[in-house]
Amino acid sequence: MTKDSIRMKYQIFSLIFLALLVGVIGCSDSGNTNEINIGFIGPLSERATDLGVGPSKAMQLAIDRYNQSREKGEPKINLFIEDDQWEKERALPAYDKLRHDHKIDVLFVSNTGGTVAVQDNVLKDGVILINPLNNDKMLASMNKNTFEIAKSTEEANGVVGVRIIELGLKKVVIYHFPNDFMTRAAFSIKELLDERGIENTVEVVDKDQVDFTESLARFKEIGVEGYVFCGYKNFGFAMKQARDMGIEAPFFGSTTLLDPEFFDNSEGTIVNTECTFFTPADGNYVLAHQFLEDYELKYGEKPFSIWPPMQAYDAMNIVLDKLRHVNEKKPQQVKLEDWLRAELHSVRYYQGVCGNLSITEDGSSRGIYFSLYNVAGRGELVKVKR
Amino acid sequence: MGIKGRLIISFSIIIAILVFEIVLNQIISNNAANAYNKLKVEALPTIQTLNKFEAINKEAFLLINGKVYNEELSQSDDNRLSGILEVEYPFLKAELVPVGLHLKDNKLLQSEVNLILAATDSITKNSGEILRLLRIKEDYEDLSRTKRSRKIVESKLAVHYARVNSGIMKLELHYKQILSDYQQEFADNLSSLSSIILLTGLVGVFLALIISFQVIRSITKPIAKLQMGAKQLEAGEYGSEIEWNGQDELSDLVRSFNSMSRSLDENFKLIKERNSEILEQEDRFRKVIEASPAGLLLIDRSGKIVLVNFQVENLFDYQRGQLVSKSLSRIFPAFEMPDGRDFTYQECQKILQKSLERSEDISGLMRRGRHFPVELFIDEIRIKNETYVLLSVLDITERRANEIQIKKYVEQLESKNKELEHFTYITSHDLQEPLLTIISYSDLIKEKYNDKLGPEVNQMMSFMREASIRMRGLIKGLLDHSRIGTQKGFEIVDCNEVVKSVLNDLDKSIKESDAEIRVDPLPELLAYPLEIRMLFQNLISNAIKFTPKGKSPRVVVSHCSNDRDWIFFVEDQGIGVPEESIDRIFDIFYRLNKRSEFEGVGVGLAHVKKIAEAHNGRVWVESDGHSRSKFYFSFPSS
Repeated sequence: MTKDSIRMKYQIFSLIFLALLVGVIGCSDSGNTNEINIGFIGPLSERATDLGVGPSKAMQLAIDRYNQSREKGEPKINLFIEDDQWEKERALPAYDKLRHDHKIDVLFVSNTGGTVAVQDNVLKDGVILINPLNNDKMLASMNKNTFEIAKSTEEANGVVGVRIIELGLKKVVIYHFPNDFMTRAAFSIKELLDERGIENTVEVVDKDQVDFTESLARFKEIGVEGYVFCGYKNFGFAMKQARDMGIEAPFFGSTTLLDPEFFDNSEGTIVNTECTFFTPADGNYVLAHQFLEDYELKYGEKPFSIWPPMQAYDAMNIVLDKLRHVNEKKPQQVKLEDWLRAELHSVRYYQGVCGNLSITEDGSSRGIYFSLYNVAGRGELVKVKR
Repeated sequence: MGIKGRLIISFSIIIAILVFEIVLNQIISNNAANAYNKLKVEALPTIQTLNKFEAINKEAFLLINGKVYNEELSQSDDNRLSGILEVEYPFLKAELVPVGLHLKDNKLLQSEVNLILAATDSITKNSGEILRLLRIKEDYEDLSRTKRSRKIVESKLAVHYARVNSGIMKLELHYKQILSDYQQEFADNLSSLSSIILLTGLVGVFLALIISFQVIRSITKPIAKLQMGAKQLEAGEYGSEIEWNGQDELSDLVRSFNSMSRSLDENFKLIKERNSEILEQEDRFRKVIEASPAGLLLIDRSGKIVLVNFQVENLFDYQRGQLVSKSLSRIFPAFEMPDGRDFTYQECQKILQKSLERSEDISGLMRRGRHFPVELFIDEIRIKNETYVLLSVLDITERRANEIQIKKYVEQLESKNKELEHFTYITSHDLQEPLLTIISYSDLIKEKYNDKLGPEVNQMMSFMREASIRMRGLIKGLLDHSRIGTQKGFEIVDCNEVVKSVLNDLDKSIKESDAEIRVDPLPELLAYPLEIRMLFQNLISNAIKFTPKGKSPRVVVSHCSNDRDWIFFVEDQGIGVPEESIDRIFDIFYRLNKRSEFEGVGVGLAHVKKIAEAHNGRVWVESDGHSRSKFYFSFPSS
């Protein structure tokens, strides 16, 4: 046998070995999930932007930290954001776009109506849906892929109802914006008031209504002792108009009073309005404080309204905490949708910035508790001592 | 057994000990790891869960007591209580469930776990009831609500909390005992591990020492002998052998060493013989060099003298040590190398060529400053990749002096020759006049007084006239001889034309004698034209003339050549030249025969000789002595 033929045989064996090695490595890698896309639909313009801008930034912060710290075998996570202008009608087109363009596997939606709107599609597409802002009984009854990692709408707004009872007000009007969340907020207050026999009226406003003088005059006429505004910035006009009309009765609000445009529209008449809110002191203070510092460091400003980004940050981190181990824990034959759903249901104790959280069997979460605050100025809140 | 085998066995024993130690370590390490794992996975997390359960339980009880008895309405406390009821308790319960499953062999404790779980559910339920009863300030003013709340606390919650605390304490006690047991087991395993490492280490070290000692001894002993043998070799004791019996690799080495020692001994003897021969040869060469009549100098590229022989010392009056390593220009100023150029064969050639062009001798410089002419021969020699120039020096002082003397003699001789030639010319020329007068008057006397003088006087007058005519022939021959070579300069002469012209002149005698003459093609020469013609004429006419009567002459004129000369010859079938006359035949006036047999004065061949010599050639003759002669003459071909 010549040297050349020996060399050729050696080269052929080397090539076969290399091919087998590449095959084995390739096969072992083929089942792995290397990248997962997450979508977020929230209000980035028009109204309630504090429920969209801050949360989107908080989620991006969580994802950046994850991607920086992820190890070999842990998938890269990408976030794609769509603006729904706080209109539930925009949720579905936004979802379709995210799904078509980026093949998202997980979707975060701020708007309760939007969450309802995409129900069928997420189930059909096998997408896990998470509402990081609202958690109410209606949302808890949505399909099996839907989770609410947020405060309880009823509980949060019930604080206002308790306060009204506590103050001994006898006649109250509850204004609310015509969407699912604010409607549910208004009725959770009404339910408490009804329970205690306090006279109350629920007044639905138009979506873009800015003149509330007619109804305010009507309620002034009948001697309403308390005004509850469950809605957004346009109720700033209502507050100003009420004070201008000589209404001195106390104002109450929902979780959205820290929107700067709300304050501006009220021209300061919002001061002393009591509302339900959430600050670092209501959650795990150290973690919450650290989150706010990181947020400011990354974006150069603190969120105006802090509870939406805090909740979104916790919700995203819970999801990332699970997705980190997808290649390690998920069996090949199990779909990502099924595996992630089961993993989220197994969350019993997650120490987040908002508190120690757990997820129940219906997909809703426990552990975030709002308190009663008093608006002290533009972007300023003071806890109410009862 | 060979060293290789011994080493393999030694290392195998040590490796076996190490493997034994590793296996033991592995077993005990596994035990330790199991113990540690139980500590880490089972005991510690359970104790932590129990501790947390206990703490949360106490916090919840305090919060509910504060709410019921102290009327504390802090929203934060309510939120915290809600957190405990909704998150912390469910989580702790979930954590406690597997603990209960692990305790299936301990029914008592398993029932405690179940009691804790049930009590926790009750606490959650009862606490929620209190939170609903005491929601706002007014609720505390409602006695039924406060009473109901206190009743729930005292009759239910306190019992449940106590039950939870009691159960947790029992579980803690159990798990602390387990923790202690695992810790002890872990510590025992570590201790065993340490002991085994120490024991096997000691055994291993002990065995390693013994094996190492044995192996080292088996290696070092023959090596020491080898070392001793090497020292003997170093001391020149070639052929000394080491006594060693064995079958291992070192024994082979010892045998090889002995073989090498014998071989060295033989080789050194051979080398000594060769060295002696070389020394003798070197001595011979040295003596040859030293005995050389020429001075020999070996010069390196820097122009320094490397070697000189005795003749150089003698010529230049230096001691050898005064010349070696010194510049050659010290004894040959002409060999001063300008611009730091290397002293090479080519440079030497240039210097010698320049000297030749100037017709100047290279001069040597003696120690005391005297210059003397030398003749130099140079050659290039390579020794160990270095190039040297070898100079052979001959003192030509005497030769130059002789040459001057010879030159002087030549000049004198030439002067005398010229005088003689002039004298001959003058004499022969001047003698012709009175001789012609004698002949003329003798003819006149014969004409006028023929009748009066009588026959005797007339005969005497006739003798006198014949003698005078013969004398005139002799004088003419002498005159012609003296004129040979007096022409100015050579010309190109076509020998074919010359011979053709000569044969034309001899046409009459050729026909009369019926001579047969063969002329081969002849070359052109650079020569005196008239002399060449005279040469051929004399030789061809002699060839025709000196033929026995009644025999036709047969003559061949031809030529041949060697490296330097054209060699012409004229061959005849005549009377031949006797051997005793061969050396004298070219002398002037020498006659081979009586005048009565062949006419002539005996100057022809003398002319031939002088003409040849005037052209730096020569003449000679070959003959059988009686019937054949071959006359040669040579001319330089260049």
